Amino acid sequence: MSSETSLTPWSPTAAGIAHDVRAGNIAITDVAEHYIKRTETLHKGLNTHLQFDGNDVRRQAKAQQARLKSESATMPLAGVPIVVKDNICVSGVRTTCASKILENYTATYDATVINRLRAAGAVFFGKANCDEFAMGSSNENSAYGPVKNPWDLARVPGGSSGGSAAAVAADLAPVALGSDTGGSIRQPAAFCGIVGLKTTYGRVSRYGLVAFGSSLDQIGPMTRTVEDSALVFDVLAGFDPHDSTSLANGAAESSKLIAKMQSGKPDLKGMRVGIAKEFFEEGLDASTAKVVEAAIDEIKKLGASIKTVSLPHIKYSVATYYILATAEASANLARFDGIRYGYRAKDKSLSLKDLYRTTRAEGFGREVKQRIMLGTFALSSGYYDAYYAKANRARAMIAEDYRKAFSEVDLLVSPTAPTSAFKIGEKSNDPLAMYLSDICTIPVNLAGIPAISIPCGFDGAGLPVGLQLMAPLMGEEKLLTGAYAYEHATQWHRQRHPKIG
Amino acid sequence: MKIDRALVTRVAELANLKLTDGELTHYEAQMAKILGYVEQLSGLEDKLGKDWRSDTAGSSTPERPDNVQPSMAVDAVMAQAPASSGSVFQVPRIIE
Amino acid sequence: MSMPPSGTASVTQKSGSASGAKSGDGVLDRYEPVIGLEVHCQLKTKTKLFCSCSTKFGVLPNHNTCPICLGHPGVLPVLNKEAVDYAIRLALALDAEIHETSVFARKQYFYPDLPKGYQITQYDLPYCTDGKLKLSSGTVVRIMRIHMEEDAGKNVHGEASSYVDLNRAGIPLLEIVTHADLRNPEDAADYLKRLRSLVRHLDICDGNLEEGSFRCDVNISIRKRGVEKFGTRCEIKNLNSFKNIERAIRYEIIRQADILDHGGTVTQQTMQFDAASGKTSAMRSKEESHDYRYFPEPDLRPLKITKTRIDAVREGLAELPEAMAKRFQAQFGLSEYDATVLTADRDFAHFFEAVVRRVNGSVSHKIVANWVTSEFLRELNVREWDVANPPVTADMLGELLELLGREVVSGRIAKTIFEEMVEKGGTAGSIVQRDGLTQISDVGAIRAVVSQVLSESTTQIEQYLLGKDKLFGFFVGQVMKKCEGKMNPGLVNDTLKEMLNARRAGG
Repeated sequence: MSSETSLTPWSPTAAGIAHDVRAGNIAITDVAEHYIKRTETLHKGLNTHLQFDGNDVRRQAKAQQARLKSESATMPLAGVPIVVKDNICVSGVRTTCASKILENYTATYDATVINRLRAAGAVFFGKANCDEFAMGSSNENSAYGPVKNPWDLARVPGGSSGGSAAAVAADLAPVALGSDTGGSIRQPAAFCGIVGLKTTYGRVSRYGLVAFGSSLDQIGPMTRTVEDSALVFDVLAGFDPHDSTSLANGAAESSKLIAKMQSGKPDLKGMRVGIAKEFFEEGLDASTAKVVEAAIDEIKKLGASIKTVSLPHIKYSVATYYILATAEASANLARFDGIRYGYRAKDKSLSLKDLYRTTRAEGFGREVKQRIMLGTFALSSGYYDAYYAKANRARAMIAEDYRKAFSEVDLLVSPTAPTSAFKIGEKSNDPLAMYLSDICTIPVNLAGIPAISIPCGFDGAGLPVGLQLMAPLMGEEKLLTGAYAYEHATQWHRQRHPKIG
Repeated sequence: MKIDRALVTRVAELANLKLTDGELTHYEAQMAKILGYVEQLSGLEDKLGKDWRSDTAGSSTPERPDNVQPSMAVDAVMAQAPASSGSVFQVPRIIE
Repeated sequence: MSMPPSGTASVTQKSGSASGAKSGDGVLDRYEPVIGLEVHCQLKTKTKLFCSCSTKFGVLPNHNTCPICLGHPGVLPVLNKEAVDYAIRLALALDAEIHETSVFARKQYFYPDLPKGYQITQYDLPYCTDGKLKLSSGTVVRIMRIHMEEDAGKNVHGEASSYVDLNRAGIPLLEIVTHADLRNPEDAADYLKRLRSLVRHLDICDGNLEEGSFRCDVNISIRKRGVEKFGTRCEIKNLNSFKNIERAIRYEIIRQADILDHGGTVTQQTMQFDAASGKTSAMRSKEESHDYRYFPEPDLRPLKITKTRIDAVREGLAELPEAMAKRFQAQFGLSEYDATVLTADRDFAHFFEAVVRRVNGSVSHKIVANWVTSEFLRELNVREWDVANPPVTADMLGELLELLGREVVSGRIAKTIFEEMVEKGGTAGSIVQRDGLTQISDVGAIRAVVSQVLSESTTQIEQYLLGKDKLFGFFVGQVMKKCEGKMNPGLVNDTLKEMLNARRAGG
C-alpha cells in the first residue's frame, strides 16, 4: 500500500473511524465491509489469524450500529475493528492460545477487556495468531504456523503478539490487542513498525487473559498511532473486581491530554529524558543503534534534556525473568489436562497417570514444555531458595534501580530490541539466544512500570526499528504525551510497506 | 548446578509430561545451558535483609460479599468435556 | 477387638493384630501414645472461597460450577469476605493469635478433583497460630495453626472409570492443626467433640462428620514411656465418626506397639480405617513423595487483617460453650454436668432456655433440665429431629411442664402426654382436656379410693403392719390403677400413710 489515498476516504486510524462514525459520515457496517475484505484477502498469506468469521463481524457491526443513535456518547471506539490475540477469551469463540491443547476449546465467558471494548463500540475482527501460550519472541512457537512480517515475508513479526502486530502493520485492522509478559507487545510492535503499549502492572484487568506469568502479564493496545493507543488505553484501564491484582485507582483519561496537544506544535520542553547506559552495551546491533541514536537527537531537538543514568542490576533481568515467569507458568498450565476441556490423548486404554502425561506431552509444543520444566525445577524442593526466592530478590533490586532513576528523570529511552526483525528459523534452535533478544523489554515487566514502543526509523536493511519509552508506575500519561510529541515531529507511522495492499 | 538425566526425569514426572529418551536428552542439554546462564544470580548480593519477603507488601487483597451468583449452565459445562457421563467428567479409574 | 478405658494396664486383644501373636498386655504401661489432630472444617458461607457459586449441598453434580472453580483458562480468584470473618471468629474462640499479614499459596499436584492442578491454600504465613483448647480431663491442647484453603471436588469410582463432580471444589475450608499434645484416645475424642461444638456455636460450620463438613485426621506415634524422642508417626485419614476415631486410635497404638515389641521400626504411612474389621491399613501410595512446590499465589494480594476488623468480629461473637455452661450453672442453678450436656449444642441450649421462659417459674429449672436432657433428648436422638426446629417445640414442652408444675397432671401422666405429643402431635392442654387427664387433688375423692383399696386388701394390710414395708408400693399401685393414674401422688401417699397408721394404732 503506497499511501493512504488507496484506502477509502476516511483515515485508517481508530480515532478517525470513531469520529466519522459518530458524526454520521460512515456506517459501521461499511467500515466493517472494508476491513472484512482486506482481512479475507491478506490474512492467510501472513497467517495473522487463527479465527476469522466475516459473518460474525457483520452481526457485531449491525448491533453496534443499532446502539449508535442513543449511546454514541459512551462509544469512543464506535465501529473500530479490533483483532484479539488468541490468548484472550471471547465468549463463544474458539480460544486456542495457538496451542494444540486448546484446539477445540470455546471460551465460555468474555474477558473484562472485551466487555469494556464492546461497550465502547468496538467490533472484534477474529483471533490473532501468537506464540503458544504467549511464550516466545518470534511467533515461531505457534502450533498453527509462524506469522510473516508484512515488511519482509521471510522474517518474523516478533512475538509473542506477532499476529496482532502483523495485522495492524498490514492494515487488517487499526487496532489489535496483545499481551506483554517480557516484551510481547513492544518487541513485535518494533519489528512491525507500529505502536505497542504495555501498561503499569494492574492497570488493565487480566481477567480472561490466559495466564502465563501472572505477576508480569498485561493486556495492551497495538495501534498505528499514539493517539489510538491512548484512546484504547482509556477504555481498557481501570479497576476490575474480577481481578484481585488490578489497581484501585487505575482509570485513565490520557486521550484528553493528546487532544490538547493536537492544537499546537507538541514538544518535549522541560522533559528530563534518561538513557540507561546498560541498554546500549553489548548485543546491540550497530545499524539499530544508529537509528536509535538519531531518534534521541530528535528528542533533544524537541527540547528534552538528556541525562545518562545507570540501572546496575539490569544485567540480571533475563535470568530473573526466566525463573519467575516460567515458575508461574508451570503452575498456570497445570490445569491443561484434558479432563474438563481441551485436547485429550486418544488412546482409551491409558491409565489416568498416562492420560495426563500423554495429553500434555502431545498437546504442548516444545518451547512450552521447556518452560514448564524450567519453572517446575525452579520451584521444586531443594531448589526453591536458590532459584525462585533468589530471583524475587533480584526483581526487587531491578525495581529499585528504576525508582532511583525516575527520581532524576521523567522518562527513560532505549531501543525496544537489540536488532530488527530476524529471519524465520534464524534463532529458533537456540532458546537462550532468543531469550536474550528480550533484554531491553524484560526489565520493564519485572519492575511493573509502563512502557511503549514507537516506530523511530529503519535500519540498513530497510526494516523498522522501535524506540522504547519507559515511565514510572502510573506514568502512562507522561509516556503517551512524550511519545505523541516525538511521533508528531517524525511521522514514522505513516510509512507502509509498498508490497502489502 | 548439575543438570543430569535423573533430575530432568524427575522434573518431567512432577510436571506430568511424558518425554521420549531423545526429548529428555534435548531438554537436559537446554536446561543445562539456560540454568548455566541463570547461575549469575547466585553472585548477586542484595541489601534486602534476610527477613525480606516478596509477598507481604501492599494493600490487602480485595474481598467480595457472600452473595450467590448464577452458576454456569451444566450443559455448557459438559459441552467442552472430552469424556463425560451425564453431568460428571469421566476419567480412567483412579487407583487409590 | 476392644480396649478398656485408658489408664488400665491390660488390653484384651482378639484375632487380627499386625503380627497375630502378641496379646498386647501392658501396652500402655510400656508405651505412651503421642497424638496430633488435623481437622478440616467446611465453612457454611453461601458462596465458595474464590467465586460466587452456591455451596448448597445435595445439588446434582457440576450444577454449582463456573469457569473459576472449573479452572478454565484466564480466570482469577477473588476472596470471600464472609469466609475471612468466619476464620476470625474461630481464631478468637480458640484464643489464638491472628496475624496482621498472611499469604495465600499454591499447593501443586495433579488429581482429577483439583481443577487448576493446584490448591489455593496458606503455607508458611497462615492467618492464625498459637491457640488453645481445654479438655474435660484438664489437658490443654495447643493449636499450632489455622489456615484458610479451598476444598477439592469429589471423585466417584466405577469399574473402569472414575467420575468427577466439582460442586465441592472451591468451598471454603479452615484447617486446624494441633501440636502433638494428646496422650490418649479419650482426650482425642473429647478435643474433636469440643471443637465440633465450638464451630456449631460459632455458626461457621455444620460439624457433620458423615456429610464431610467436619473431617478429622489423626497423626499418631508411640514412644517408650520415659523416653523423650517422638516415634515415627502415621496419619489416619477418612474417619467419619467419633466412635471410629477412638477405635482407630486404639488399634493403631497396638499395631505400632506390636512392631516395636518385635524390634521393628514403624514406617511413616498414611492409613485408612476399616470400620467393619476395626483395623487400620496403609493407603495405597496416592501420596508417593509429593513435592508440592508451594509458592505465593500471584493472583491474590496478601491478606491484611486489622485490629478494627478483629474487634468488630469479637463484638458480634456468639456466646461460647464454656461461657454458656458457666452461665447456666449460675443462672439456673444447674450442676456442671447438666450445664455441660445442655450447652454442648447451641440450638439445644437455646431450646432449654426457651422452655424455661415458657414455664415461667411454675417448675424448677432442675425439672426442666431433667425433662430436656432425658425425655426430650431421647426422642431428639432416636427420631433424628432437627433441634433447631423440632416437632415438639419449646413452647409445647413448656406448656406441658407448666401443667405439671401447677399439679394439673401428675409426673407419670405428664410422661404419657409427652409420648402422645411425640407420636401423634397435639398440645398438652388439648390432650388433657380430651382425655380428662386432669389430676385429681380432691382430698375427699382420694380418701374414698384409698379407703376402698384398703378394704379390698386386708391380707396385705396385715403383712404390712407386721413389717413388710415394701407393700406400701402395692397399695399405691392399686390406688393408681383404680384412678387411672390421675390422682395426685403426693396426696395419695399422704392419705395412705395416714390411714395405714391409723390402722396400726388400732383404728
